[in-house]
Amino acid sequence: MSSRQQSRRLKWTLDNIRTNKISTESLAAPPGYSSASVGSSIEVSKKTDVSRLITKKSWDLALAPLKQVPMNLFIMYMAGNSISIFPIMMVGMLLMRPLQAIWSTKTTFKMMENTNAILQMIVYVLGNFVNIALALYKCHSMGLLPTYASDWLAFVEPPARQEYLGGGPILSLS
Amino acid sequence: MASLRSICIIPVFVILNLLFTSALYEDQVGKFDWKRTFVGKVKYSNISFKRLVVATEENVLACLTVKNGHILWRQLFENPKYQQIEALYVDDEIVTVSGAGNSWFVRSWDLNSGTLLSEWLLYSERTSHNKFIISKDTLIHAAPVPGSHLEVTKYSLHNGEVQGKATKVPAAWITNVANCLVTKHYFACISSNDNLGQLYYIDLASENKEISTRSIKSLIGEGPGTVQVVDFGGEIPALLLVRSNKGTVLYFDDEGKVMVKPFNLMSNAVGVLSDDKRLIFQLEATENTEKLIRVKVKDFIQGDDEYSVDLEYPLGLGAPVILASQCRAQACDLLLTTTDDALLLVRLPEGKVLWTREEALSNIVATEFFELPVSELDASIENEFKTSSNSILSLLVHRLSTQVKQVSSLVFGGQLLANSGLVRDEFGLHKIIVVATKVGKLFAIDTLTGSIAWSYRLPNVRPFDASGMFLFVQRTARYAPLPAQCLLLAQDAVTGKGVLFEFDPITGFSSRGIRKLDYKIAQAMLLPYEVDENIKAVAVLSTDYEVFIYPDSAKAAAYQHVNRLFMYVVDSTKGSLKGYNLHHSSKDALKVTQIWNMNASPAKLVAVKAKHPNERVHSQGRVLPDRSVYYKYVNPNLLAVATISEDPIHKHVLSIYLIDGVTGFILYSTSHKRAKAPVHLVHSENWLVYSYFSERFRRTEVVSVELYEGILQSNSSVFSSHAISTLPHVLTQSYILPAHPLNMAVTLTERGITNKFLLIALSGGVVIEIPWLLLQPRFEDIQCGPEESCIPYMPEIPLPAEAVINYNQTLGRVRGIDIAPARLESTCHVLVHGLDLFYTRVAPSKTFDLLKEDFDHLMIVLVLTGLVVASYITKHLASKKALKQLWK
Repeated sequence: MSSRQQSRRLKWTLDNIRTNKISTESLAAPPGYSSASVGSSIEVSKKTDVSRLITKKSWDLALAPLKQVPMNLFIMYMAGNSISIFPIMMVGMLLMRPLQAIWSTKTTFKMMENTNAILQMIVYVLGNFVNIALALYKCHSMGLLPTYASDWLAFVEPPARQEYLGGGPILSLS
Repeated sequence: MASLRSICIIPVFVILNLLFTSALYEDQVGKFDWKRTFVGKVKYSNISFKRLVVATEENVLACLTVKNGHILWRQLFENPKYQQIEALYVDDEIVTVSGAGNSWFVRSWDLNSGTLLSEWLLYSERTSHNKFIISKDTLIHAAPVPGSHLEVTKYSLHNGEVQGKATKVPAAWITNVANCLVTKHYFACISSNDNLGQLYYIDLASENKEISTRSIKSLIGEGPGTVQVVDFGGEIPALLLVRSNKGTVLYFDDEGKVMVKPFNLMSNAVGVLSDDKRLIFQLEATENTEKLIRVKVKDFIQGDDEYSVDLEYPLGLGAPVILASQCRAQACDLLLTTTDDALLLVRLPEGKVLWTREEALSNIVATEFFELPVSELDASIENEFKTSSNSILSLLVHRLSTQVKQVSSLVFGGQLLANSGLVRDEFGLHKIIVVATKVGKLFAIDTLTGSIAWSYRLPNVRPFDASGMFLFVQRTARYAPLPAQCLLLAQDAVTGKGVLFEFDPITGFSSRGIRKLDYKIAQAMLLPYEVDENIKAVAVLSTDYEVFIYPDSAKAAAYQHVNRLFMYVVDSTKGSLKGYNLHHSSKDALKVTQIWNMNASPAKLVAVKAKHPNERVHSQGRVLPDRSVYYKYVNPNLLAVATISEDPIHKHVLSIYLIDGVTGFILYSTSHKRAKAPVHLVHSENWLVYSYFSERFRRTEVVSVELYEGILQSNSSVFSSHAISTLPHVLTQSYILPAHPLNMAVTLTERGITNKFLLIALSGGVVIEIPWLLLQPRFEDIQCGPEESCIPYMPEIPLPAEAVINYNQTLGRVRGIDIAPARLESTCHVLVHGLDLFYTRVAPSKTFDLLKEDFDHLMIVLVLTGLVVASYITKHLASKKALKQLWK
């Protein structure tokens, strides 16, 4: 009972004797507040962040061809092995796009403004090569690659004659 | 089962339709083919009003128009080799007697349409020279038996019933049937060809058949030289007694007495009935170089000259003989035939030659196709860059002078060649065909029109005993300004020795003329090496096995290659095949040495076939469905030999050999029992096709043989017959040909890329094309279907009507099919000769290298110009719009 009363009392009492000294050091700064000098700290954080982003982005770019591989595989599977306009177009696209990409590797990586993206470039080119290899495999399975002897048959020159033969039935009765 | 079969059959038909869609459209008829029809050398003839009925040595009866010599109708009889027309009688209908030995067909024909009205067989017991006398409704058959008697039988003309009895007239005075003739109803003979001879004659129409006789001495007096009896004609019983080219007319009067005309005539004199007046026509040579022949007309009674006319006789024809004549109201038509088988109609008294038919072309023995030279303008352009000197000044002068020439030829036109139109075209479709005929006359025929560009008669020349003549292309027209050169080899008609004739095939000009060789020719070959002035030399082997080289200057060049030259000689009478080389030649004399010998006897050698010397094989292998290559065994020296031997059990046995002509090595041989002639061989690339008649099944069978080296090529750069490591793998397949073939050939194209077609001339007068793909042997272990682009095996070769290259133009008695490539790869020239001449172009893989004839050039030009114009307009409009937008 007494405790309840006390607490009741406490409710209405105002104790102005006790003063709590709040140490400013132990308190965390409010969110968004930084005691450090504002200008310089922003600049530093920006720099590290962007470079990380760029590397991340460039890796994204470098790995994009490899990420396409499953999709390409699916397209290849769907296209089938018959030689008609759509499969041919698809195979053409499969073959042309990586080639174009390899050709324009430098321009693709230029926007990165980062000179040390050699590794990414290598990965990018390799990824494109993987795509080319896939396209070539497709060409091969479609029979578009001249890999058999029969494909070169038309270019085989007839062998030169060593001997010449002439003659026929005996013409005059002797 | 039935549905499965139908499933199989449908793709077959699809493939067949794809293969055989090479037929002509109706509007293409005559566009690139032509046909010329002949009748052969005329033996008997008759002019009745506007019609001219001829019976020829080709065993052909034909009716020509007198006006222009065109054939109204033509009937082909049996094979002229065995049977001949022996008598011709023209009245309301035509009656012919044709046959040989002791059986003859007596046929009557409708004069207007040439349809057969009646036919009966005349059979006599004797096989001797027979004479037939046909009158209104009786046929008298006189069979003289030399040294014994004369058998005379009278038949009713229309049903062949014997009238009365066959009578035998004793006639021991018949010594030689060549000294006998029939004139009207008289049979006359001279007993010997000298002054001692007697003339015997019998009136066969009379009942008692009395023999009358007069001595030759009393008729024409004594004189030197032999006496001959010659037919005189002229609707009366008369004959000519000819001695040393002078003739005397004898005629039999109504009482059966022989009368002599007291004047001399030429041996070619002919009697003609002209409006109840009897005339004698004879031909004489004149000195006038423009009008070589004079027709002299004489009165029959006194022999006075009525008039004489100099004929505008065409140059180049041989000596003429009058065959038939018809006179109506002063005008006379004379039908002449010449020693070179030409047929002319001459109208008197103008002396004009109405028409000429070159019947020599009905018997062609050698053919060669020639490329035409480039036009003068092109030649001068070529010449412009061809100079020998290097100095700038001379180059300039040369260039200026050729350009001046070009301008002048542009302005004034080319001279010689442009006028005749014999100029090479872009695709080599315009060629000239040089043919040598049996009578020894050369013709050059334009392939575009079929007209004769030039002709050249070689007197006293005949084909070789074995076969034909030889035409060798020594130089083509490619080497302007040097003219093309061709060499003809033939036999002298009298001595049998060789005859050599060099000429320019485009103009027919020969600078050297005919050269008579002093040896007999056994064989000849064109050497594949060019010597000076791009001429290919010809090596001629004499029957004494000496080798001669023409031109003579090429001997040294030929000597360089002696180790690579081989020859083979086939002696079909002895059944032997011999191979020779030239290894042991010296620089001065080339010498042949026998290296191999094959003796087929007692079997008969029926056919030997080598490959075409100019054939090019483009594809060295066959692609199998698994895309690997099966290499072909392409041996250019391979010979295909067919022999037939008699066999007690199998009747005839046909053997086929494939022999390497260089080494004599037999690569393949097979035999067919109960198979007999005719055997036809077609040999090309790595395959052979042969046909024979199967006695067992009574049908013609065709077999194809293909040789393969295997999956590896032993030597891809050089082919040598001596370097054979393994025997080629042989594939065969046989088929039924539901027809009777007369001749077979295979197409030949410039580079050999185009598919091959077999061209088969059938006895029905058609030439049919059959794709080689249809005959190619199928692999046993490899599936055959549309996916493998392979036609499933069908035993019977289909002969669809669309595959007939001569569509509805029936060709009589085809003797040969000659093929030459055009410069256009897809196309080759085909000349079918026999009684008729037919030329066409064949494109086995269709004209894949040529735009279609109906290609719309105008449309494509319009569309292109429209697009260009439209793009310029839109460009202009777009720039305008952009400008407007900038101002806004």
